[in-house]
Amino acid sequence: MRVTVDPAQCGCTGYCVRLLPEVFSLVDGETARAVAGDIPAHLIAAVREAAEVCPTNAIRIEE
Amino acid sequence: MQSFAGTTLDPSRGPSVSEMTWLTSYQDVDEALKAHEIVQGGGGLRDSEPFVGHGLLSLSGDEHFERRRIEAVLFRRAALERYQDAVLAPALHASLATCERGADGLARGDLQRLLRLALCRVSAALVGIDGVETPAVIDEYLSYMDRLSMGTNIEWASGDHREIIRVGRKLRAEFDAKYIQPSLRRREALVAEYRAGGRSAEQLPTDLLTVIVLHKNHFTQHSSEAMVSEVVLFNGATTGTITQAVPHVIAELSEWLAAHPEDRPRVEDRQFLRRAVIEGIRLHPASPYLIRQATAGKQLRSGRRLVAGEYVVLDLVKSSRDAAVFAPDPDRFDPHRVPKVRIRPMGLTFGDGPHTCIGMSMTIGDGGAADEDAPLGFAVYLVREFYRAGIYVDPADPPRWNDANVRNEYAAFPVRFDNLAR
Repeated sequence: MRVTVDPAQCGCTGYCVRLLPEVFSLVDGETARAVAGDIPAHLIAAVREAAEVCPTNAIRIEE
Repeated sequence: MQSFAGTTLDPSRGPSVSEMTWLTSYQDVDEALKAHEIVQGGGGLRDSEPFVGHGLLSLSGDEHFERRRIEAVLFRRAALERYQDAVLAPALHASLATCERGADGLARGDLQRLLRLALCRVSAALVGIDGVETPAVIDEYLSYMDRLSMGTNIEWASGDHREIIRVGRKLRAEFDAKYIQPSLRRREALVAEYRAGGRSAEQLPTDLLTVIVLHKNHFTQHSSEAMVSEVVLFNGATTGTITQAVPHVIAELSEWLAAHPEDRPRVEDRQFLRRAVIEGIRLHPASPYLIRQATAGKQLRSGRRLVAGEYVVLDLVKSSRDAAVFAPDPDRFDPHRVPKVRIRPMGLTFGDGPHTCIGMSMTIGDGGAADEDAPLGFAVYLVREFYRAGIYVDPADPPRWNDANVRNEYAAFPVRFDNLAR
């Protein structure tokens, strides 16, 4: 699984970072970002939850 | 500016909306929605507190994050597929069956009435209220929702707020006893069975009342009324906003298709329909205004300064027609519109930031979903189904406007269906 944040959709809520700081980051004045590369297996469920909780539907998952 | 004559009961909770600072440019509104120093200042925090206080709208910070996390289960793809296919589709079929046949054999009805009949059953399913199926119960349920929305929208009401609150509290108690409590008790029994190992999580209903029972401490930590507030909010948001939006989309799209017959085959194209729905909602937002409050001094990029404690109204009507973004024809419906500057596809009308409408995907689908089988979103689905049924807006019997409300609703929207099977 790979994950990205669509910058056009991101509402800068930081909810993804609250859930999963190992994967997502947010710098003031910018949109959130996700780590590049494959998501470790033990974080996959949490990434799915982050995508569900994101208020602006900005998280894209590639299986 | 529209006049809102009502005054708030507690001046410490800010001035009446007509006395607040109004932000009207796309850039200012967009920035205010995202700014961490500008928080929810309306729904549930002022006179509407008895109706939506401690509900999703009124929370901020950790509590809001936790509530969104808990309620996200209701908006998962599998849940949206079920609501659309197993609830909305048959509810729409039953609603269209109420159309009357004229001497020409064609079906006729009022679009808003048809939408209310169908969506009322969907919102009851989403919330978890059982038994909203027969015409008599549906009518009574709709009547409660209409009257309860007076309290939810009290900030904009020009009448006596004290009286609206008194009547609203009485109605809420009736609605709670008659509709919420019986369904809640059934879900408490199901959850008890699940916790005792006699039922799997997958066998629990996917609805708000079940979520509330599963997270009872979260929902009752501040007030026993929070649960009722959330039910009223979700009910009104599902039926009210989509019933308000779809007629506008049909009115605009019908005119567009008459002038652009080359687009007629595209009423089966989900991306075209989604853009048409978003464009219709841009011109006629379900919530025309939002109230926010600055928790600290803030200078917007436009140079506008807000002081700590200042209340602002975010004008979604004007900002969604801002010529700086939508020139040269910001007031015109154009489903192929390409904004002058890069903005989110859905613009501002579902909000932005943490309080983005939780029902956005439910309404317009997930634009990022790559596959064609993803749920369309209720508004997109309804528009498609109405065109499949041959909806026709007769220029000789046009929709009539309701001047008496702030939510841009029609008083009557007569339509004819040319392809509706008996």
